[in-house]
Amino acid sequence: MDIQSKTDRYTPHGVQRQIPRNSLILIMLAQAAVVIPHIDQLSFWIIILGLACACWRWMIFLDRWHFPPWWLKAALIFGSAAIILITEGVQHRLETWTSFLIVAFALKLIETKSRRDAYAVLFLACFVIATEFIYKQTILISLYQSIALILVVAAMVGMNQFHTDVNIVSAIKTAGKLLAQAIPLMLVLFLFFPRITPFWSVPTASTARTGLSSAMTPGDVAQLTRSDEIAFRAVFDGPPPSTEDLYWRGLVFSNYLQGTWSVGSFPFSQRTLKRIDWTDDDIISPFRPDVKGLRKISYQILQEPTDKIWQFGIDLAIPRDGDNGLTWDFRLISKKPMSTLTRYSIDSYPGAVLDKTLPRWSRKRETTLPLQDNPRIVAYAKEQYKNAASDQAFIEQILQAIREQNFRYTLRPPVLARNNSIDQFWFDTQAGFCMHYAGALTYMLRAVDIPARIVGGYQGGEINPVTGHVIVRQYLAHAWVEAWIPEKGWLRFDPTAAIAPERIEQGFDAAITDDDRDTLSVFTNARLGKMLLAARMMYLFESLEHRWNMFVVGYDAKRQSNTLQRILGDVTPLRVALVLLIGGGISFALAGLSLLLLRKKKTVHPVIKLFVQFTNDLSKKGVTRKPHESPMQFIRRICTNKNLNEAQFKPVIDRLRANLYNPESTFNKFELNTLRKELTQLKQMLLSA
Amino acid sequence: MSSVNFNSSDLVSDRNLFSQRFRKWLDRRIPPQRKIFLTQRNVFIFPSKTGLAFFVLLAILLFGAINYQNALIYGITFLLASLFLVTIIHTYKSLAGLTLEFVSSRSGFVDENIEFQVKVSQENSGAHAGIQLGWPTGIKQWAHLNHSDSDTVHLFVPAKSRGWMNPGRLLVETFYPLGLLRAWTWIDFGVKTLVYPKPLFQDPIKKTAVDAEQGEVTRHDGNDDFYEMRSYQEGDPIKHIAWRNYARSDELIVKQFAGHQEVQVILDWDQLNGDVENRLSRLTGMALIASRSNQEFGLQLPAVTIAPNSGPAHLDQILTELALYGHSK
Repeated sequence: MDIQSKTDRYTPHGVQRQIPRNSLILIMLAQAAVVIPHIDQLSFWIIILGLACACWRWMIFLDRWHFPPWWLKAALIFGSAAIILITEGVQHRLETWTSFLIVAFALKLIETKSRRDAYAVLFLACFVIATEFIYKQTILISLYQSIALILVVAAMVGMNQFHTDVNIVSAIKTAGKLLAQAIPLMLVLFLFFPRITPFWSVPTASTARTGLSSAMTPGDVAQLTRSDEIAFRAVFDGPPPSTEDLYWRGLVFSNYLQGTWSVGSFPFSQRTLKRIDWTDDDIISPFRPDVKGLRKISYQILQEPTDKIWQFGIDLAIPRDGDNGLTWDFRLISKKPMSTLTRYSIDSYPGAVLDKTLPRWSRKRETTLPLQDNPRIVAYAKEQYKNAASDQAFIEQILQAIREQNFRYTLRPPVLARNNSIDQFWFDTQAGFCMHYAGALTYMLRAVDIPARIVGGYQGGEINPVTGHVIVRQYLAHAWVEAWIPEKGWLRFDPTAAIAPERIEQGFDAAITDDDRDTLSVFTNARLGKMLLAARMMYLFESLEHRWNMFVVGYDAKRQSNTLQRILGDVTPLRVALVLLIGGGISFALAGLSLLLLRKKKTVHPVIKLFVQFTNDLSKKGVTRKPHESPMQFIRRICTNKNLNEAQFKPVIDRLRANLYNPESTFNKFELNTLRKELTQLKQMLLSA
Repeated sequence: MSSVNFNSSDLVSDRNLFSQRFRKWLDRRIPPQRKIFLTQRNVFIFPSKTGLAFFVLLAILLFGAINYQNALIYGITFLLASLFLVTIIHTYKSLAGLTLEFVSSRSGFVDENIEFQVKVSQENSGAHAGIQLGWPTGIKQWAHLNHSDSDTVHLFVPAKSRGWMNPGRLLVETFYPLGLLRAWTWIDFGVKTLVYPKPLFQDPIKKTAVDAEQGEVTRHDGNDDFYEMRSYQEGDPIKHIAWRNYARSDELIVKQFAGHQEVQVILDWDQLNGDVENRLSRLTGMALIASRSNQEFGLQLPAVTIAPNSGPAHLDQILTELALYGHSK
């Protein structure tokens, strides 16, 4: 005989190649579970397609419909691909790939016949879970995905049992147990597996993420929607500075055109542009402002993914890592767009002089204005400048004007025209938010040839009382003005502090009116309001999320080497191997233990238990049942020995006999209780006789 | 002894050599026995095809984790990898600890499925699931151990040729719980069963003339007339038992009927032409017809002569001779 001809010779008639029905339910549950988090990124038609495929598969499951013919499948596949390519374009974008993935997932549903198809679907499901982690890495998503993964594994469990043995609940339980047993090993792998630098660049998510943008047209904004999403968290080595000093510099807006402020470029060649302080680049002269003798504030920032390169720090921020650098206008930028949570360390030197002497390119860039835009404010500025003693006095004069005139701070400003928008704001509407005021001030300064620019970033931050870190949310986005004063360098002027000083001094909530509160979410209002318990709960959860970010999501190569040194002291291959063995050992021990515990407890029928108890009690009094005796013979023998009339015990003997031997007898609690009473009676009578 | 032919001609010779060596090794490792307890000595385990695909999935996920520098993708990759490793124990334990015992087999004809019964039992229920067993040429069956400690599995193996049939080694395997690993074993129960030639019903039964009127009462288990009562012997037809008598006396009594022998049939090899197998098939068909019509018949083979008789034991004897014609017994 031929042993080599193994499984492929088993072309069995159906059974084992088909998907057990309950497994199919699990597969569909798992599929739904892994797709749901993606729904906000999917086009409407993909959702409809998915639902339609699920319905179709369900009808096949119920034996009402057939599998679709090949031409329909082909049409669906090519049609979907065409629609994706037309609507999303041929781009190397993560969203496009996700759309393809989900469509394939949906279409595979109506094609899933064999176990192999089912496994293809389940492996795809693991892939979809991983893809979701590119978009979101919160603790809640991770918990949710763990449940989704349990469903995926449960579907696998169901695939390897006989149809009728597949039980949805017990498959889910088994899957949960298996995953739980895998966790110790997974933890050591997570801690110890070397973090390698990326092999190639990958498509990043380009969904609209809340955050700052590189261009801003304040006149277009009718209502500034302020999200309470977290922009970043800062962990200070010492106590954090007070709120009014927390000016997180992010962007520098130098160009103005048609009502739009945008980030300016550097007039250098590409090579000189590189003279950002990348530590691993061949730098000719690293840009390092002089910070000798200045007070240093050290902190770490955990920035939520933005897909942008802008990072945030307090002036003057010098990066401590090699993955980011300082630009010539003192911005922090990352080497790569930050598509995941990014952690960076910064030393800040408040009071450092920025640009003691102003480079020519900078003077040119920061004094340029469009030729004919906003003539009224230019004239106004020139007029005011005549009366000013110095540049700084001039700025003070304008801030005074903002304070004294009828200006209003609002998140719902009137819409302005593209042309002469600053004139319109300053002289007509007189209502706006930080960007309006910063724009007007910068414009006026440039009108009188004082180098000035708008700095965008965040202002303030709340301290989480649980862990003590500073949380900066999107609604703290802010814009202020930087003007260059000879010898003093770039100085910060915040016109918003003039119009709404409480915005800066006491934080964001002090400045907003009840009207503005409508633009905020329920959660923000709860946190800002007086709901103390809710606020405390939210801070607790926020601190959990922060720790999750610190220790799990932010676990990178650097963090890894620190942790390994802390755990192992000296990181030698032997010690790493040892810890891996321990982790693996725990997992295997758990698995072994669970299998040992599976040893089914032999359940004894309660009637047998009762009778055994009865004989035990009797044997203590010297009456022992012989091994060969049936219960009835035993009772009969005692009766004869003790000269009792056996007939009076007939009811109890009958009941015992029925419950022990008659498979058709009705057994219930009442029967059991009656029997217990009767046996006790019998015992007493037998013993007393 | 090997009467089961596999279509192994497509296999290259070194593979045959390998399979021969493997068989020898297997014979030493798992010697033939009627009852076998599965331990680490006789259970093999290796990633299944699905498991190998799973490695590809893990590799892709790992690449994703590295390229996106995403701790959570690292996390799910390691979780799945650990899951795979943990599953090794579960898959192994799903098979190890089972006891397999050969119960019985039945004889049959060529091109029929021959039934073998194998009892699968477990000591502690719960750990064993998804057990499938089958002979390489047969159909795999599941053992159901969910609700009981043992299950007798009926396995069917198609009979390809007449004579003694050894189904070979029985494959017992499981992919439980995740299908990523396959634990299996090859068991040799060392059993054989008889396969009769495929019957061909094309020849009329040639009767040797015996006058029906003068026919003696030659048989005592016929159907025609009541003859006598005697106590039950194994093999007596159940419908001949005198049930009323049994109800009264607790003793099994069989009614004997007298069959009047009308014809006597000799199934003669020499009166047929054609090749060996064809002749044997036709003789088999004739024997079955004769037996069905309750005739007394004998067999005349080149080397064997069996006197006319009837009854199941006689049919069995004849069929055995036909099955083993040209084979050593």
